[in-house]
Amino acid sequence: MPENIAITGLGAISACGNNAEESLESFALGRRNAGKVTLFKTELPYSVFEVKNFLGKDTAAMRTLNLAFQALEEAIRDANLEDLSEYRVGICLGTTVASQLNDMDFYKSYREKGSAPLDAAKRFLNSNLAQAVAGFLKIKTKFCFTVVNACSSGTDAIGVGLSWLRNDYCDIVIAGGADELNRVPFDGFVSLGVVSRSLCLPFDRERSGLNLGEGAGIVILEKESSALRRGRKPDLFLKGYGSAADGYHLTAPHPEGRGLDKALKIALSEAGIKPSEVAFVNAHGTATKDNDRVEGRVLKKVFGPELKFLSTKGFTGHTLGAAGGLEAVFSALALRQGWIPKSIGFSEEDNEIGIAPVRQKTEIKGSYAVSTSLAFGGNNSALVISNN
Amino acid sequence: MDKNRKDKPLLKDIRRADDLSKMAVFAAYDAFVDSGLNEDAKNDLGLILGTAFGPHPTTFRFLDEILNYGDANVSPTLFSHSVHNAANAYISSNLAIHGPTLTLTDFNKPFYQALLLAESWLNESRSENILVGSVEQYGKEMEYILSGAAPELRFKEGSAFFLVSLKDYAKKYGFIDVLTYRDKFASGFNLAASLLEDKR
Amino acid sequence: MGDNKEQELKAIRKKLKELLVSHLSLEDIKPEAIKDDEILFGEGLGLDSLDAVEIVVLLQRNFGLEVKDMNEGRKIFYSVDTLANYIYENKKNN
Repeated sequence: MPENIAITGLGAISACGNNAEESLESFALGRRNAGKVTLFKTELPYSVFEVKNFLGKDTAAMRTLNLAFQALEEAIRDANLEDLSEYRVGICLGTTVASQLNDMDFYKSYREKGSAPLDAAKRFLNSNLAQAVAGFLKIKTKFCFTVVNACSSGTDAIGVGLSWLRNDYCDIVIAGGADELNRVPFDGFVSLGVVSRSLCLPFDRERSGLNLGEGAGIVILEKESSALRRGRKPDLFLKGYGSAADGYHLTAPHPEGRGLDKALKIALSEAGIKPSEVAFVNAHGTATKDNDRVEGRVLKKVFGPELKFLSTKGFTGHTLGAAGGLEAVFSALALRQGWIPKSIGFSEEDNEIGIAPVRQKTEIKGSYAVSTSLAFGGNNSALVISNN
Repeated sequence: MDKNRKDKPLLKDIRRADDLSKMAVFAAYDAFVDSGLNEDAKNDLGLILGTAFGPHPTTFRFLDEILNYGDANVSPTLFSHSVHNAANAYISSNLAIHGPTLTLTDFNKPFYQALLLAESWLNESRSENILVGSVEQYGKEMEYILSGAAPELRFKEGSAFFLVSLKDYAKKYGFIDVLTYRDKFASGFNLAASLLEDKR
Repeated sequence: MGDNKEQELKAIRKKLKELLVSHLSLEDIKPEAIKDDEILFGEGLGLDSLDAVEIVVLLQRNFGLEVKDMNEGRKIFYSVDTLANYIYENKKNN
């Protein structure tokens, strides 16, 4: 009988809160902390979800790393794991921005003069997210890399953690993702025509695109035996992970969502549960025409029209590499608290989708939650989390 | 890179791709064809790509766009190719792969990490067969950066892919018994290249 | 008047074909080989949704034209002819 993998720590920072408690408060109050871009200069007027009142511990580090460190510290405190020295630890984290050297000042200088100060470049070379976290925690481990699978990175990183633990390579894995709001993806997503001019409306008939956000979501995954040995009785578990490629197109999802369908089947099968046992789904729900149509239809097909589901991107924006991490944390919190917030931004069902997310704060009945992520480039991933 | 490859349909499908994605597609495609696996195998075929620097030249071209044309007027095609998982997106759509796919980045040993993960997935039966590879692209900006910030790194470009499995196929090049890694710098690509040399 | 219009349209179509080939990396195709009534998406040139948003940028940069809404875009981008006509009509009004 394979060992249970517990989730013993949670950490989250995004526009809806600088920690888990603040996030839950925003959910309960229906607070959408969106506004115009303040983090960099831009002519583009689109709304974004920036983290407020946050400077970050390390002024020399990229913002993405600082966001990750913040969520990490919360997760570690939550897990009561300040001393990791006795454990075999793995670190797997997803990002988009931290993997790119896109510093404009550096490039402008290089372009004009053929030379530039190398501070930004050196910072980049020290910014492999997983390696930076290993350094921050003073951990040496060969199980340490950064996932760059676009929008499913955070979910996939958690899936890797599950793999490592099941293979007994590690006792504990720090997994999730982080991304800062950055000019390059901002301009890029706008150019693709998928950014909304107003606040995003996931799954709504009138939806017209996503809003970008930023943040970090981190879970501490731990073998149940390890947690029990150190006197912790876990109340949350990671039961399954499924991932499948559409194999279809660089930017558009497969029209019938075949990759997502497959990923869900694998995740549910690993967890040993039927779709009817799922209490709710935290959907990817970016509010683009394509994603929500494809995802919504697959959710209806797999779980039936009575499914309770939501997109928390109405509260956080699309946080790219952080999304999977944040949404795993939110799903875990919801199971623990016994409720999910309303799927904010939604009011009218889209007939082309044929299913609607929850319109108000809703009590959860059941032990299992699913979190889905659909990446640019066609990878689809799903996690099954339980509270028993 | 031989841009005069004979497989025209493949070239047409990747017409917009940058050189990083093209190299990865050719290497992955060749590895799959070389394996002799039939089309059915693609249903659950896994795909893991490791890279140290990803599509950095395309990122700089995208910065050119912003500087030349402004935030509101940049090329969505260039942006789509500046994300690290673009190569895998091309490989999976060109080879019609429907298994799990993952791109990872690590400055020191991306190919090694990719192989470790492949082993992990194979043990879990997440896939029966996995295409594992690594790709790096040369760029003058990155060369400038490395010569100033990390002069011990020598910068080359290329891609190598292996098809790995726990199954005992009649045609096989060998086994990967023990994965070890020496801590001194050795790019994932060099490791892959030296393994390939035996093949040749 | 009619001749002028036809000449201008001819020039626009020629430029458009060159831009499509270079901007969309249509490697095997020569601009001259593209028919005037060539359908851009699906059959014909076989362009896709990413090419569509790229054409929006192409119009902005080379002709100073904005396509406000992609539904509008679908009709304009039907063929080389419809695109050339759109450019001609809107350049006039600018």
